[in-house]
Amino acid sequence: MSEGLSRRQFVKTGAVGTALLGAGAAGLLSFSNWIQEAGAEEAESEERIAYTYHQEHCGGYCSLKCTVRNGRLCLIEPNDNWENSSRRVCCVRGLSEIQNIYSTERIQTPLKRVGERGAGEFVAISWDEAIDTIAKAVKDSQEQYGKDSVLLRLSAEPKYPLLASILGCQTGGFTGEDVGVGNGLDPSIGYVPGTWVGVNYAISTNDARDLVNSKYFINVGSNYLESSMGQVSYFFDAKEAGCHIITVDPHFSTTASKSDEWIPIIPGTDTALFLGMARVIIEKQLYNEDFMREKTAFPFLVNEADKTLLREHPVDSVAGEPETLEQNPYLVWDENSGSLQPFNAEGIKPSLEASGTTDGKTYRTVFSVFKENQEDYTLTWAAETTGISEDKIAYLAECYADGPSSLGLGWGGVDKFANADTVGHAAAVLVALTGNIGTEGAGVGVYVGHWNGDIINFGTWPLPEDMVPSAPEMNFFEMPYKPNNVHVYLSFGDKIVQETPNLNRKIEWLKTLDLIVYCDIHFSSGGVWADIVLPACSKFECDKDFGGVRAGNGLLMTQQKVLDPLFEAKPDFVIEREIGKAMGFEHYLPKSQEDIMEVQVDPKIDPRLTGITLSALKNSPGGIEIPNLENPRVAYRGQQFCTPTKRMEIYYEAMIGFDQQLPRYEEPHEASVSNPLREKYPLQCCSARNRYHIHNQFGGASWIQQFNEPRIELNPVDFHMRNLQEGDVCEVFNERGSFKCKTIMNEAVRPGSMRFAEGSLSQFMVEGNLQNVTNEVLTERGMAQPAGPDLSFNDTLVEVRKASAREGGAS
Amino acid sequence: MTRLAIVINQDRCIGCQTCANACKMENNVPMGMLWNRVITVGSDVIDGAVGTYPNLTREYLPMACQHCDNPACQAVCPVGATYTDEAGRVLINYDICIGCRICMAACPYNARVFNWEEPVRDPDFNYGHKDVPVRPRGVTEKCTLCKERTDEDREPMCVTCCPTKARSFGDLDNPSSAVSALIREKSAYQLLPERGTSPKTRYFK
Ligand code: SF4
Ligand code: SF4
Ligand code: SF4
Repeated sequence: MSEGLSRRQFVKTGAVGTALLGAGAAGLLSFSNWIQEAGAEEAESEERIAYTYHQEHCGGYCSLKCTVRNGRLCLIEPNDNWENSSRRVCCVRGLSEIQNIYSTERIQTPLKRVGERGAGEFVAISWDEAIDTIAKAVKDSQEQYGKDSVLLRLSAEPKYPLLASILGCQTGGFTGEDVGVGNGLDPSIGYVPGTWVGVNYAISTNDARDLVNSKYFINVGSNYLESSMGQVSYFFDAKEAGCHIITVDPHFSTTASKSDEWIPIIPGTDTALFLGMARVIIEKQLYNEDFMREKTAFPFLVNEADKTLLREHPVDSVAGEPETLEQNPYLVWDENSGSLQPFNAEGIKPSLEASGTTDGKTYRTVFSVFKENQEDYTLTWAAETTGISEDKIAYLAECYADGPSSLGLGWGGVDKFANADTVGHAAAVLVALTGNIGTEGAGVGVYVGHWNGDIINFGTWPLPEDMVPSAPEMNFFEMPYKPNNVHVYLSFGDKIVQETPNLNRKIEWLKTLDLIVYCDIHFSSGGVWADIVLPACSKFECDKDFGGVRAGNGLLMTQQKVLDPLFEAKPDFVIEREIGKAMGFEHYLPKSQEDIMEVQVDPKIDPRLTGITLSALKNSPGGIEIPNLENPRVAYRGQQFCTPTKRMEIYYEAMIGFDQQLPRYEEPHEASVSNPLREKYPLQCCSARNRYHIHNQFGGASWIQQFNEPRIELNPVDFHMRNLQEGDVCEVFNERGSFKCKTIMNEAVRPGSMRFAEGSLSQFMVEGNLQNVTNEVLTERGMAQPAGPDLSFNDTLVEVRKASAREGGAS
Repeated sequence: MTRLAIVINQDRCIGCQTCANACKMENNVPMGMLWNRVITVGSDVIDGAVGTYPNLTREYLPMACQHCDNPACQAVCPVGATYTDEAGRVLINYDICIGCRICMAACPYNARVFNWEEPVRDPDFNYGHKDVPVRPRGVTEKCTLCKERTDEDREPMCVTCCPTKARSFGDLDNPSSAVSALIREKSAYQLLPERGTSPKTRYFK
């Protein structure tokens, strides 16, 4: 490309298909080659300030103040208009956007594949050609194979609220991600309306601002200080207020290093820790009897034979409608009257340890059964299983029982193991034993991100009633393994690689599809498999004055126009509209983003927005602090749970068939210590989350690469055992596949584990992708759970060897 | 007198590098250079650790020009390009700097960086504060305590952007400033006091 080639010239060349791109579509044009400084009219102008919000996938919900000079983004700062200083945040990734939005890693024009799928050879095409190709393929496919022959997968960031309905396509069922621990925890406490608590993501019941009220914060399997950059202050506020913070993590994470104590654990054994703690709590009688009696299912009665709970009359299993609790309550043994009584009868004292026979069947309380369950789980066993000493486990149990204590659970650690549901369930039992819930300083769950803050509900754009997505045929993660009807696959954001363990198997499936479309801001690892690639705008760009509205972190925020769309990118709204138009549904769609904003911000939908008008919002510096959201959320106040019984329902009848009605320890599926596969693949593969990425975002940002590039991390013990030298390119491999990357040693990595940042982009590695080796197991139990099975990326064994010089020669 | 300074709470510092990029952005620092670096003390890798697993410690040390009361760099500069201004900031006059780099050798904190080549920026335009001078090839540069911001009575960019609020800024000569209070209450220390440079930057844990 010649210097100074103008934008229009390039589009012309591109449209006739002469610009052949290399792998990854990178290096097309540098920003200055592409976009000249603004013309005379703007060059003279003063600096301009505009506000936008950053991507939201990290949960930070930061509002950003941007300075534009000569049409170029010159400064990004936290929006300083908020009273509450903890809302004035912009982390290292937010700042890196100053380069990232102009990066040569941007998808600059619509692209069409010209080489083999996966070869990364594309030519630039016009938007018209791209949209027509997609619309035609969708129509043809749906005519021939039905509506659900089109699959749309949206990652968290792209905003296409209407697209699935417009296309009538399927959307792939359960998420597969972040639900592991939630499957085990959330059913015991229930969904709290207007929040994310209880929706099976294990979102913490109290939000992170409340940690300041905790005596102990036991943080298990979460690298909060890297995963929750928007809220790191709360951790230190709590610590400085005297909350004693203990982090349990296989690795010496940043959070571990900043906690009062770090307790290393064998990966994937967190359930054993919790069961060991429960054992101590029972043996030392540290439990809260009143709470257990009044607020949990511990007094409910278990049928010895079939493990079901005793109700007033036998459950009619063929009945169409399940009976309500009024019709058929659970029974408990009332110590006052010495009789069986409905659990919710007035004036009773439910027994925690009754046993007896009624109608010829023998019953014992859930607590008695739990104590028996615990017989297998001695302190010695827990210590052996977790690698944590008996003393430490006992100490953790004592701290936790000496509340108010909060129990932090992870996203990214043990929740990416096949046994993650048992972790959440065992945590629920610890909560139920101690009553550490529903009051200040006593929370449980995943504390990262502002998801655990207040959730504001928005109105949605009305579409005709019959304009709805197809029912999912199956979960998307089953599609590579089961026959299905998908012919056209639309991936908005990199759903091709990001949510895919055992990528090579998925690629086999991808090869069978008629059309793969990938739409994103930057070219990510999965893009090479696409037939059509679409360039989307970042949150700094839009074509109109406003690009959207968003709520989070107590703020109602606007996306003002900072810049016009860069390169040939278009805002999500416009892309959605153009696809809808090409499908013939233009008349149903909003004409502008502001039309949608009108519908979204509606006090009738969410009364907390009363008094906030759209015009006030538009005139505000990037948003408005929503009144009355200053106090931390404490869910289940009064210890009233959102379960049918209003109690903590820690006994899961739905799991009887899997012997998980109470948490039973199950070894990791693959990465267990005893797996004979370890002879070949001795290292646990840790797909780590770090502060430099949000999944596949920011991996291509040169300002991030200053500090972090893809690299295999090994403890020096494992490093030397393999005779490696600093900077060697190694191959990480197992039966599923392999990838190659530069390798370093880091004492913070647990011996016996290989750590690698998930979301690392293939184009910055020597070869392959982390997902080539990750475990694709789906548990049968997970299929029966409320949020479906979790993808077990971390439940993976690998070996690492030095790649040969020739192999390692690539850049 | 005014003696502007930054005081850093190392307990709150999580090594996130936000301040490093905040500084780079505000001051139009080219690729391959940082005026403000966050060091993982005693480790060759960022976010490494000291000790042997599981007996580990980690300490982050954000490092930029310490704005010494007795600056070694200023003492050795043969042309007087390095000077201390009326607010106590140690600054470089880029028009005078001859690129001899004696100051870089003299600085015990390795705070200075040098434009060996034509500066390369990514994105390739001048970002940051509009009044920050663009430095040519052949001069040294370093933290200015965000002169252009602090002249406007704003905090330095690294202080504004630190997500944990680990960094405080103010006037050491004002006994009621936040930084003076921290130095008193937390016994905030200086780096390498034995070098006699007497930094204004202080740290505490
Ligand atoms: S990445 Fe998250 S924490 Fe960082 S600036 Fe963006 S929204 Fe804020
Ligand atoms: S921004 Fe703050 S927390 Fe982050 S490295 Fe700098 S001083 Fe430390
Ligand atoms: S005070 Fe300004 S110049 Fe100095 S390190 Fe901070 S951001 Fe950089």
